[in-house]
Amino acid sequence: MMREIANLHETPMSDQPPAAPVIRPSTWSEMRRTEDWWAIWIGGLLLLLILGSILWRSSATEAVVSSLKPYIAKPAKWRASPLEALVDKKGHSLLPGIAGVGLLAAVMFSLAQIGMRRPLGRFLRAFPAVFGLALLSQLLSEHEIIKYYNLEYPLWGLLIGLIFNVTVGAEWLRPALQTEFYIKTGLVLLGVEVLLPLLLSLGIPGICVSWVVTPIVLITTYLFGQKVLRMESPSLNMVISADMAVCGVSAAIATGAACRARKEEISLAITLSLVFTAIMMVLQPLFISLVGMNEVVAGAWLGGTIDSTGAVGAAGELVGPAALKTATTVKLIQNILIGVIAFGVATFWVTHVERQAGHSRPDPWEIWYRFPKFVIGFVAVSAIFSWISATGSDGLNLVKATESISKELRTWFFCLAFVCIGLDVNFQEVRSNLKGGKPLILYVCGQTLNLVLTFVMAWLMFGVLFESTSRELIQQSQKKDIPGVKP
Amino acid sequence: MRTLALIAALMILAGIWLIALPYWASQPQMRQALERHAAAGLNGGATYYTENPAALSNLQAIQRLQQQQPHLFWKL
Repeated sequence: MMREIANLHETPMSDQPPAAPVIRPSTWSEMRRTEDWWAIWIGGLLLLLILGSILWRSSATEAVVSSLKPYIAKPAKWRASPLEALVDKKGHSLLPGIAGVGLLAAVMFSLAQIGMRRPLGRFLRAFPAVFGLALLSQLLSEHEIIKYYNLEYPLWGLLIGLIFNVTVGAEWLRPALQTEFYIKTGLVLLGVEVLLPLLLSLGIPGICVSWVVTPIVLITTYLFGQKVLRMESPSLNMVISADMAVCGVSAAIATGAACRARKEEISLAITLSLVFTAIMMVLQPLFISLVGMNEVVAGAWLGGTIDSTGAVGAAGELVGPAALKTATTVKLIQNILIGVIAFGVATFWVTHVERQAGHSRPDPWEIWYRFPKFVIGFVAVSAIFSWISATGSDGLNLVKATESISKELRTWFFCLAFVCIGLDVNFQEVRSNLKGGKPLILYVCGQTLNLVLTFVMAWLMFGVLFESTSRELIQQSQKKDIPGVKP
Repeated sequence: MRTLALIAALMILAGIWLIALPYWASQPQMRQALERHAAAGLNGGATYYTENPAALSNLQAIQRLQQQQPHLFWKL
């Protein structure tokens, strides 16, 4: 069934001829045919499968674990030989788990191809090769030194894809190059890890450092990009602003999908973020020790400013145990914020950015049609699992058991997406994004503001208003009996 | 020609990942740094807090502190 909607933006007195009615597919038809909805169906189906496997297993044993655990895995950390990556800490082979992910992903995405009326045979011929490249990029990213220097898997996914793209070409892989689809499905699964009660983990100081400063930096950087730098692409501006202000790769993926950024824009933002993270994780601890900054203030500053979640821990560890504790917790709060930010960006995009000049605010139906539906899935999964985690220890254990499987799957889906970006990159698009060095200027200016504002807020909160809390954190961190904190 | 280019690129990657990085990781100073990270539960490659064991254990430590002193982060 098709629904016709008259274009309500045209004024009746206009001299222009009336615009033709916009023909929209019905919501029911969209639910069966579009990637956004299929991302929700696949994510939901996988979560039901995981929950079922946990509840079934838990009724037979005391432990809250999923019976799918041995069949869902990714390569482990390795040092001397890549074969170490195919065995877990207990000496069990990870190959069944890796093959299991490949098979599960092939089945799920095949269902979607059928639903979306895309050629299934061509997808099935290409998908194993793309999955193999994703496996190779994960093997590269799992080397201990690569992890130590915070060179995350998206970078290696891009590189591997790019190598195959410029050498043998990727035309035959095209049916499986569904970057946005893999990202959207991964984001729906990421919702399990976006547990909203954790936003209050550090009380008032945490709220001020993460909830107040982060959105201010994000909005100011975006406005600076639009009004001062006059960036040609608002979506590139938003993705760079979000990955710099919030939490690097995961924020770039979430906001990029929410504002329908092009894949080249997401990869440019991530590359910028990884380069600056590598610089900041070395320079900031040096500066902190040079000026003798309070450890907790330093931790909050590191957590609020270094983009990458992994690098925050590494930098905090160089400063001291209290800094490490504060830094990782501030970053954790920022990680959780991506749910709210992705929803906000998606709403802002459909109500403001995509609105044509001179047109009034779109009506609710128009907003509904344009809204990226997978964001609704992402937010709904986050709300459901936040509620489950708040019901008590049983609920929390259920969430943790679900998360242990879903995070492996979403890592694979994001990795597939980055391999696809490399395989399908448009070099003309990359060149046009780099024109005038505007992305670099935007990042540097935004990060400078971030460094200053976060420091002021961290100092005001942990150095002045909650100074006794800060002392308590330092004392507790020095005690050996606090797990997770290096004595 | 394109296949040769692919082989060359893969050889470079193999050289870095199979020879250079394992050698670097076996050097005493680097090994010490890697072990320090492992002991603290740090995962430098984490893109989200759930991939970083240190973030989770530090969160638990802060939550325990809050249980002992509920007003610690809420009262000036």
